[in-house]
Amino acid sequence: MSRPSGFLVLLLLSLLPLEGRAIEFGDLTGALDAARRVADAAKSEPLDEEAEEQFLGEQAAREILGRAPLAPVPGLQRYVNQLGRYLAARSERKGVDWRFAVIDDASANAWAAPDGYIFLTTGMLADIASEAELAGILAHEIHHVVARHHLKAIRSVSDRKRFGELAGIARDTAGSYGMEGPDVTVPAELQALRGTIAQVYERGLGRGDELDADRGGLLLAAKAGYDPYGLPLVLQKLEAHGAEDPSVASFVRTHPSFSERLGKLDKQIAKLDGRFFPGRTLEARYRRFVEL
Amino acid sequence: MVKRHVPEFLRGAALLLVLLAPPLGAQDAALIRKAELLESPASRATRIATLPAATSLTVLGRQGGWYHVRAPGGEEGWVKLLAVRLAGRPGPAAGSGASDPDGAALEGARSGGVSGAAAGAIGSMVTGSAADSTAVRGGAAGKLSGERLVAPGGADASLQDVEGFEPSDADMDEFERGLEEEQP
Repeated sequence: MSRPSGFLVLLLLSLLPLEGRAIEFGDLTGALDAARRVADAAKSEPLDEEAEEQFLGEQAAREILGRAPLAPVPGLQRYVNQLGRYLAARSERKGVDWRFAVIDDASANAWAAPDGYIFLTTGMLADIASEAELAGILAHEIHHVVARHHLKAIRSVSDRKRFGELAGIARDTAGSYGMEGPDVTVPAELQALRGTIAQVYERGLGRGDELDADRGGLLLAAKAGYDPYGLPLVLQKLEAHGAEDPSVASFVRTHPSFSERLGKLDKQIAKLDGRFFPGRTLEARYRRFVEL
Repeated sequence: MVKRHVPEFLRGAALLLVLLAPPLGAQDAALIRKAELLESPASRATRIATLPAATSLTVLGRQGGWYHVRAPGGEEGWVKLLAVRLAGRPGPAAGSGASDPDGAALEGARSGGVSGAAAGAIGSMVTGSAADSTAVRGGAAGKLSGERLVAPGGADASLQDVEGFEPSDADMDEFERGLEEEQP
């Protein structure tokens, strides 16, 4: 019976702390497998598509929620979630965990984030007068998630190979309670990714993505039984603020022109040829929930 | 799932939301293209006049895809909704806010936000940049723009709150029953 070489002894000794138990000489194959598993984990496998979307969605949601607080009105949050889920259940994308939230900010805007996060501001609600109009805005944002617009935009300016590693860093930063807490220092790599995501939102999506979300959103709201004019009506009211109004400056900067969007929606409505009309508006219900 | 309850007194903030959705009153507007002024809101309705592009109108109401309008000559009728561009809302910047209570109230809601703390803060998503573009008319709120208004760790707490907003099956049933308030 030959004795293990000095090299193998060293190798096996180096594996001891990794495996966390004594290794017997006869257990060599198992020990090497364990060492390989540990080494693979340290390299971080790339995330699968679903895990990648969840990771980026949470980072994007955190970025948006870091800018302003939630509107402290539970009944309003619940209503927006009821309507949002009612619409999303009729969308082309199943298996998404949809979450909707109203943010307390006076500038009019709405955002989607990967993995089913949808946000809109109290400033946007200021220009909404019915459930059909709210449905128009939410359905537009839902379509961004259905078509994975933000996911693709973030991927296109990031190194996807590093997402696995960054997801690990994010987990470590959040700690065992899943919260970063006020005293936590966010590692530079994770901060850099969040900066990249912030820039995607600062610049806005491409014109084609926005027009696609208008088209998909109008159809989704109409199929769900709402007045198809909901989205165009809100756009008309936002346009009426004028480009100089600071409360719509961010919206204007990050979206195609109102005239182009309304022109395209006009053509799309004409093609519907009366289908889905008139549709519900539910102004009274909207007022009840928004007034509380 | 942890539901965090917001203290009752914070519901006072909801009162300001009352101001957020004024009905569409008489509103100045203009045609973006030539349009027919019709007697009723239907394509086959009798034509009252053909109005050229850029005609100024007063919007009186809406039905489906039609605005009820008054033309410069005083004729009232219906034009296609998407042939119209609504004019700017009166407000302090336009110097005519006093004549339009709805517009003034809306302006107040906008510059104050619901809590009064967050006006325009997320006009800019990148910390410290474009601060001026998010300044809100006539208020000190502009000072806050471009800054992170949520305390460190606050985004985490909000994220957890958002997870708690998920409606129950009973909530969804209630919502769907409420749809019957209005038959399309």
